[in-house]
Amino acid sequence: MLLLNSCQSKNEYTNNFFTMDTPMSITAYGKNAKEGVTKSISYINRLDGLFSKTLNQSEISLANNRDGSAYVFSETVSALIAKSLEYSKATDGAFDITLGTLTNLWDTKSETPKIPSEKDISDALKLTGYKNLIQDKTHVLFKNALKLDMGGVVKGYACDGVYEILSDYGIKSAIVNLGGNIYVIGEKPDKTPWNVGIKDPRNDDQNAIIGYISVKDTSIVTSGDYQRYFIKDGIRYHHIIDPKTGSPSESDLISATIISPSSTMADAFSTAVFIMGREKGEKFLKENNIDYILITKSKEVIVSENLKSSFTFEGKEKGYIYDK
Amino acid sequence: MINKIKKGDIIVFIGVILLILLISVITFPKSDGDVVEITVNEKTTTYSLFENVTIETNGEYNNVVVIKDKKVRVSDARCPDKVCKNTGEISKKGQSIICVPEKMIIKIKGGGKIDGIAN
Amino acid sequence: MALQIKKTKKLTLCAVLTATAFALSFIEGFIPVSAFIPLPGIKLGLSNIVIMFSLCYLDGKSAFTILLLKNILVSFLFSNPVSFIFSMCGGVLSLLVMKLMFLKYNKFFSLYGISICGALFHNIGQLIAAGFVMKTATVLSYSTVLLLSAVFMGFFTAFISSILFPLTEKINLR
Repeated sequence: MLLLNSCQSKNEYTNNFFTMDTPMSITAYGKNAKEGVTKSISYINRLDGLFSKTLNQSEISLANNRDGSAYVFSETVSALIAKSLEYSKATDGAFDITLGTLTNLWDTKSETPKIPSEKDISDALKLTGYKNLIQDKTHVLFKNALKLDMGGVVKGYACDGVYEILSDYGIKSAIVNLGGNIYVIGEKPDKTPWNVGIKDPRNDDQNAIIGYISVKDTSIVTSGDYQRYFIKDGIRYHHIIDPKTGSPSESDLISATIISPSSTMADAFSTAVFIMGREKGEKFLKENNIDYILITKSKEVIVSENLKSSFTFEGKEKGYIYDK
Repeated sequence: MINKIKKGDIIVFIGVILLILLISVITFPKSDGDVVEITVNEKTTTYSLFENVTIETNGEYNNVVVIKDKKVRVSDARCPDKVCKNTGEISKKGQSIICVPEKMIIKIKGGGKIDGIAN
Repeated sequence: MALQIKKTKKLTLCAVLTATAFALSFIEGFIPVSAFIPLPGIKLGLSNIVIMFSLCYLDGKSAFTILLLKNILVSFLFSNPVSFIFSMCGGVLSLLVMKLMFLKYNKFFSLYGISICGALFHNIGQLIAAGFVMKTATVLSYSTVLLLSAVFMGFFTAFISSILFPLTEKINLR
């Protein structure tokens, strides 16, 4: 066996790791690359300890098993709750962090996933709704027995945090990949923009893309029906639950990508737009001046006007349609 | 006399042999992109893409990774979802195979065209 | 009158040589070189015997004409226009190098050196063309194989030529 010393450029540092049940990787360039990345990883681990739904001692788990109707959160968690509620209002409830009971019911991560009964779904639906959360700084009042699930926003939040940390360390070039949520900092060391691929939603090959965008200093987040799903009787049951129906969203989109310097927002809005569907989603994004790439069930690729010049389409052979 | 080998022939012959040696040295596999990085449970081992080797990942599910003919694939996946095996072969810089249950990341190092995939 | 006969003779000879080169290229396809050397793209290059003969006994212009006609015939009858470009890139480069070497023929170079260089530059020309078409330098890693094979094939054609050429001198060609 031949072991090679990876003779990489001097100031490059990469670390691949698993946190939040997902593969992550950070590559940074610069003098303090190693320190910055190491610090970022411990930051992500700390967030996982606060927000994880699977760790019993996380703040979210503790709050979900609360006695009574109020809970006092740490500043970090309450800050993200506040932001999430903002996004819920903006998206008219399409994005919602109060779906814990429903996501437990639809356990798409399980090895033997089951389709819940209609009664279970309607019962669980009663225990959701962002309007049932009343927040006053770190104090949160729960109007019913709802459970929080912040999985739809925490990776984005972590991305933004890592961006801050790396910037503090003076790093001007880095790519952060937290389970598919991407943050690119600056340009590549060779002064060209970063090329970020958009996953082909209908190909099991993890490296299959429908095209890529060339960008700098921004975050790219995708929500799709292909990330976690099971198929039963020909129907695809995926992990993005529509807060209105309590079942996997049945919009005309199979993938929604948001490009924005705020990864937290991109994370929340990609989920929301995926649920809203093409027409409503595009209208919402245009009103808020946010860049996007949407893929419909009929394999049509829609790219926002601003982004067209930096998007390279590569999905023609795979049956995708892109009309410039 | 046509058949007789002349001085120039010998120079040509030696020149050609030297040229071939030179090209072999230049194109000998050594660049950064030909390194395969396999990370399992935070532990990273590197291999050359040019070697033919079978690796047991020794994680929870002990998947089998094969590097052969400059291609990397998961040949035997004992993990429940088999996503890593379904990814098939990778051979280009920047491509990767990820297995979530096994906590495994296989990556061909070096700057490919695509720096990351939003997923 | 004598001049006219000479011209006709040359024309006929060129035609015969073109036909020979074409026939050799055609026959070459039936020789299973790949059975001995299991690599794609390796040919004996038998038609180079004809090109060398033309350079040796006729002139560069005739050799080029024969090369062009042969490649047109082979490419359009048996393969495609792309292979024509490839063959011409290799052929012309090879021809130029051999023409220069023939200036020192019998003094500094024998048929062996010329033939090996001819085969070599034929392959180099094709590699350059391939590099342009594929827009990568990966063809370079294949080049050692092609260059090495050129040495063997060049030697082989030189060996045949060195037997054949003296035989033709008994016939009054010019």
